[in-house]
Amino acid sequence: MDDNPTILIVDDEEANVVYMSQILEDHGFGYTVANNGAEALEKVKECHPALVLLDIMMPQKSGVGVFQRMKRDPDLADIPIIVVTGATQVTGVDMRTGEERPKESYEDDLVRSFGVRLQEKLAGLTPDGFIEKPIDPPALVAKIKELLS
Amino acid sequence: MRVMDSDVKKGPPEAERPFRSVQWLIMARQLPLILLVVAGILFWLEGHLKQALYSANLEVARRSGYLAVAAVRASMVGTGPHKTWARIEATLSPDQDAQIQIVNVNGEVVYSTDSDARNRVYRLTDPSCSPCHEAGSIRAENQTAIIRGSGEESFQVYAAPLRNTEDCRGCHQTDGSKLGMVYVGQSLAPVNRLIRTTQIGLVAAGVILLTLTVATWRVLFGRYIARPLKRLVENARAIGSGDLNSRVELADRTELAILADTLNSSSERLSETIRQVENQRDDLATLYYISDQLGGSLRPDVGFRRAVELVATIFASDCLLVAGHFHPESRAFHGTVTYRGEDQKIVERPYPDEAVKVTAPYFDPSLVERWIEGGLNGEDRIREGGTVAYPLERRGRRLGLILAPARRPEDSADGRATAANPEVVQAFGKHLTMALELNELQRERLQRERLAAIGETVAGLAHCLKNTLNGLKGGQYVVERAMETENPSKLRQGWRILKDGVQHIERLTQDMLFFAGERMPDLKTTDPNQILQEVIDLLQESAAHQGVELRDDFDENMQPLPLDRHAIYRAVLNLATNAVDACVESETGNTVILRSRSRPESVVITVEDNGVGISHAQLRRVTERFFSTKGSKGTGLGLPVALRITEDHSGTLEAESVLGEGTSFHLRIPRGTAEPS
Repeated sequence: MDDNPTILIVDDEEANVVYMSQILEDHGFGYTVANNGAEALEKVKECHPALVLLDIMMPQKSGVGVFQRMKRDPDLADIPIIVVTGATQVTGVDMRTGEERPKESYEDDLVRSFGVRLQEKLAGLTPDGFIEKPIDPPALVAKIKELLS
Repeated sequence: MRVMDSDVKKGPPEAERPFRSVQWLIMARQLPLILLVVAGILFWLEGHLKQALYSANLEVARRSGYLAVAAVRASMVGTGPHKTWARIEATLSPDQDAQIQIVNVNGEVVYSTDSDARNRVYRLTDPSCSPCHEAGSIRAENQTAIIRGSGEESFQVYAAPLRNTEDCRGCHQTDGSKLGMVYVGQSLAPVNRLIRTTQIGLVAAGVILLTLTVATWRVLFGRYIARPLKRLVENARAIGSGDLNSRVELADRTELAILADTLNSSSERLSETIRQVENQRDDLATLYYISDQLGGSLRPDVGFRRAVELVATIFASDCLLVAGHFHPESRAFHGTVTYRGEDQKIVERPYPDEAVKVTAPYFDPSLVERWIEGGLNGEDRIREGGTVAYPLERRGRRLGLILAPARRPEDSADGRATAANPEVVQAFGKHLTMALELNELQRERLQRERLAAIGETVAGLAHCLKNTLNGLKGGQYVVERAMETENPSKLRQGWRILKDGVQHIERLTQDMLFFAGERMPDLKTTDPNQILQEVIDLLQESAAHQGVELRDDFDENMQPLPLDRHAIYRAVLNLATNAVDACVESETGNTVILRSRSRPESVVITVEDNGVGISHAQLRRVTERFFSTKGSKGTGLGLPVALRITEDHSGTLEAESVLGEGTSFHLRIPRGTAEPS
């Protein structure tokens, strides 16, 4: 394992990039940034990062494209991907029927918040990790460390 | 109202259809027959009469002949020839109707009442002899004949032989058996006169008889057949043209009277039937009115009042409406009682809480309780000591109860009882039930939809906020780090992120307010160009910062129109922001144009960019709430808000786009449809 592993941050929003990069910097991780799907794939091939922080909610659904490409490419499939998403985890009472709802899985959340059949698009491929927005720095770091070990 | 007008198919009106009176038909056929018979009888009579008279006449002639012979004999024998003729004349005293001629065997006229014939000599071949002495034979074939006299008269002649008897031979020394003939001619003139008279008489009698027959026929037929028939016909015509109260009474009890009676009772029945039909039609109209009034959804706060009013209007009766719900578990009934109070105002009280305050005289709490317990049959009217109850139930669900006073007609001011027509009141009850149920279903559906919408909205909002929150947290984090490391540029960076986040929340909040706002547009006559300029002024700097140029293309002849300034500003701002983002997203996009065009009937505002464009599939979805292609930057409310604002101004929002080349949004607001406040 590298002492200074490079992590690829993929996000189109400057604020998110700044946030995540600051966190990585604070914990001694190297990083590189891509602002869209195409750029991301380039960087992946170029640098072969140790891990990818992937924002799914990007224009033209390019986040999903990156995810699929990477997971299907045998050279890249081993790179762990943490999906960063603003999806809500809903628990509690269903406001329509008044019933108690169990905690849902992330996949279901994604489906509902995107309004697309993300499950199909993900084609049953599972991200290595999920990080919810707003990002909790310790949680992110912990997950990264877990996946890199 | 004449009911029979419209649909009955008729031929030519009865008055104009040609017809022949029965009377004349019969008489036309009977008269020739009568005439024939009468004529026959007359002829027959005449024939026999003639015969009889002639016979009589002849008989007279014959007797006269015998008398003449006797007279001749007597006179001859007694006194000699010279007194004979006087004796004969004295004996016979022939009048002008009779003529006597005595002719001897030589044909010499020995005596004649006709003085002209006194010296005549007849020959057997004379025409006057030939009727009896045919072909001039001495022996006569007949003893009588009709001979025309010297004038126009005819005579029936009887020839009596003067026989040569013993007594005669004293003077007449001949051996012949006959001395001569006495011809008595009895004039037929009187007979003929008589015959003619009789003929005339008979004809006259015949005519009189015929006239009498016809007259009698007419009178009797007229009295017993024609007049009644005419009256029947008139009556039928009257009925045919719609007067159902027309009746006919006939004096004589004949078959026609029976027909009249039948006609009368038929039109009576018809009248009655039509009355019933009209009543039913009125009832139907009432039902239509009821359905019309209750057909819309019945909001309980308005509807029950409306129902009570309707009952008062339609049935001229008061009523009381108990309606509500059964609690699912406790089965307790909670609802309202609506009725017309003493001052004719509608009163509503919660049931059962304030049931004691209900002052309607026919409100029977025990009846309501029985209904709550389930004791009233859904289909029956119950009449309990002055109160009529109509349960409102549908498919086993009990929704309410109508109570009404069971008034007798004579008790009420206008003579109408409560249940004018029980079926109609029941139908009213059923309609009311359906309206109540419909209302409830609609309420439930609305609630579900609202909850669903809220659910969606809240989920979408939360999602949006999560992103913004992430930005704020990021900014916060960076600022902290910057302060720790005393790094000014990092500090600026973090601060900027925070500002962006705050601005984002601000925009989102405003969009939400606009989207959810129920206020009507605050319209004031405004020049749209000013609004567009304000948007340009706001966005110009930050757009330039991202490499996008904002241009204006305003209509110089813009005619101001009533607009909600704030709202249109918001809409255009959203559109322009989207346009700038589209340019930023594309590599070649760099221009956003805000255009205005003034038309007689509308104003069109266009936001055009040469940015990344929208695909056809996405174009349809851009107005969905929270649908955004801009990743976490978009609120997803920009276009829905713009659309909402456009609709509030009765306008339209149209989009055209080519992927990779650019997009145009056209906001068209019609003039004149909105009234400035």
